[in-house]
Amino acid sequence: MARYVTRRLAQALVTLWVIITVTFLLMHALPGDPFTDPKLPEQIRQNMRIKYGLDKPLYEQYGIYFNNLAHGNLGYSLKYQQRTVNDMIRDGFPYSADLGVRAILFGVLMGVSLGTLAAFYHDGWFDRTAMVIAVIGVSVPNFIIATLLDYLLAAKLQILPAAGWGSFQQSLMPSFSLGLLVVATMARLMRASVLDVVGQDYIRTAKAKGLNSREVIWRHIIRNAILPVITVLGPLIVNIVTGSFVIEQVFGIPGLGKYFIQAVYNNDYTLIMGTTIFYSALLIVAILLVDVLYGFVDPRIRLAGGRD
Amino acid sequence: MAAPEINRELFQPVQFDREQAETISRPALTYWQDAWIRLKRNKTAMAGMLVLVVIIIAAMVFPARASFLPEWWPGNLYVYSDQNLQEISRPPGGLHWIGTDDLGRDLWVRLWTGARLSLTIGISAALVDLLIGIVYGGISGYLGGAVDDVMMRIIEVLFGIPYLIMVILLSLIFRPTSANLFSAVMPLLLALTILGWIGVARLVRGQVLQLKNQEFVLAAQVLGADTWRIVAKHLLPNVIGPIIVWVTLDIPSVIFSEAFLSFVGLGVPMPFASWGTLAANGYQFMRIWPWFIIFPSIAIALTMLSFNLFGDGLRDALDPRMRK
Repeated sequence: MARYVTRRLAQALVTLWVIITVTFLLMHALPGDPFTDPKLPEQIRQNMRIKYGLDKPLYEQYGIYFNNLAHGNLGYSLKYQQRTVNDMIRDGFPYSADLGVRAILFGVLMGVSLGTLAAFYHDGWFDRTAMVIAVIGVSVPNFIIATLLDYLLAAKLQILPAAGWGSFQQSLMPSFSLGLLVVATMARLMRASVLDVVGQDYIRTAKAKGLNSREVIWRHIIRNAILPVITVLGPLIVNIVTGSFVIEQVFGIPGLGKYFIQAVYNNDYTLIMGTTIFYSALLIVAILLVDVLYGFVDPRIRLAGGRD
Repeated sequence: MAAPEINRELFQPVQFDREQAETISRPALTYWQDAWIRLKRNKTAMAGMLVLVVIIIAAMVFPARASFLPEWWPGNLYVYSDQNLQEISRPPGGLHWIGTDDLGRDLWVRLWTGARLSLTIGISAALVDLLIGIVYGGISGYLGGAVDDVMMRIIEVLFGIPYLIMVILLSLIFRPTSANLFSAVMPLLLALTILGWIGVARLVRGQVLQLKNQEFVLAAQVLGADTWRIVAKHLLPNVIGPIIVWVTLDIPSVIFSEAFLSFVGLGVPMPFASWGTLAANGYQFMRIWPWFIIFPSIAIALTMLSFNLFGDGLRDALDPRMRK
């Protein structure tokens, strides 16, 4: 187990380093610099370049950036004066995290129950309906669902607020459209997993022992079936994060995703770099946690130590 | 009427012949015929395939100019970039089958021109991914040992990079320009494929690793087949099923990524149309002119749904063991 965790940790660190370096190089490979406005006098441009350290050779800038990064300092935004990237992350991220957690919770709870019920009523009408919902949830892009919901429920029927963040009603549509993919993926996997577990010998044994069906379902079926389903949580979290870029835009939520897209429009290089690195670190840690958690929960990995 | 008398003479012993018992009375089905029969039985997969065929044909014919067709044919009346300021934001009806947009461009023609772009990007990105993935995964799996180790470590590191975030960054570097269609699409294609091949490389490597130690490969080696023949005749046909399935499921995800990029304003530039840019434009005017958003949304959703249904069906048909 320790070997497995160390290996995954080393891998995560290398990935993060690659991302930081690639982001740094990409941002510096862009033609020109953020101060190419022709109205800017040459002298001021020079001073700006010096102020932001853009006049130094690339390797030196890289060293400075890395050093700052190690101290948790992501630098100043180039577009918003006097605002640091850290500030903006601190402002925006709580909203994004709130939205993301709601979407994940909704998705996992809904998906796992849908999938389990679908498996119990295998080939019945409930199973078919659930799987139709699942296929639609996997296929229809989140921003389409978001815009259509926004149009139907907010603009036409006016039963939910169209935008903003704060009240419970305002969180319904964003969490739903962001979480639908999680619902769909979870439901499909959970259904297959439960169907697999139900046919196992130990379920027959449990029934033969005389356990009542509630015991069998909770202790033996769901507990075993949910294990392999946990692993997809990592990729799903990635999806939630990238999905939040558009969902926050559609519903006017002042989260980090909105800042990120704005930064891309504005060529705000430090903000782009900062948010990319922040997001990547977040995702890498999240996936690492899911993998390690899975390792702890699954005795086959816990005891055998790592899988290849 | 009396029943015919049944007697011993009417019967004849069946000739049992050892030679005959071994003959195969039905024609032997190839892998593909067999898969096709299984696919045909899967109604949802067939429906997906049908919808895809309809969409592809529609994308080919509707924006096309056709002098032999009557005047009202959309391709004869409008071009996707033709602005008509007299006919801004017309609702569906009349000669504009699904209305016009905020610059007076015919939405039906734009929708199907967009389909050409979205589908082309989806299919070509999937094929490029496939090509890189097969070469990388094939080399890694076939050579094995230290080479495989190094190549897999690289993949593991790349796999941790969040795909869409990197695509957004890359689309900043390879900025699409509106000079011509090529310069509008190529940068996107590059951004979408730089990390897109990892999945298929892992798939191919796993398959090759599993296959290369099997007896039929050994037999081919003993018979004197060279590496090229083994790869082409023995390994490739065996991995082709999962690869085809992967491609059909990769196309919708590329179409999604492109639409996502266009939706946040980083996709194909004006005046070119893709489903993503149409949806983005529709979203802006959703409250006043809802028909802008409805049709591109339906098109994207329906296409992705059909690809997924078809891909799922194909997986069941090509790999019967995977079936539940």
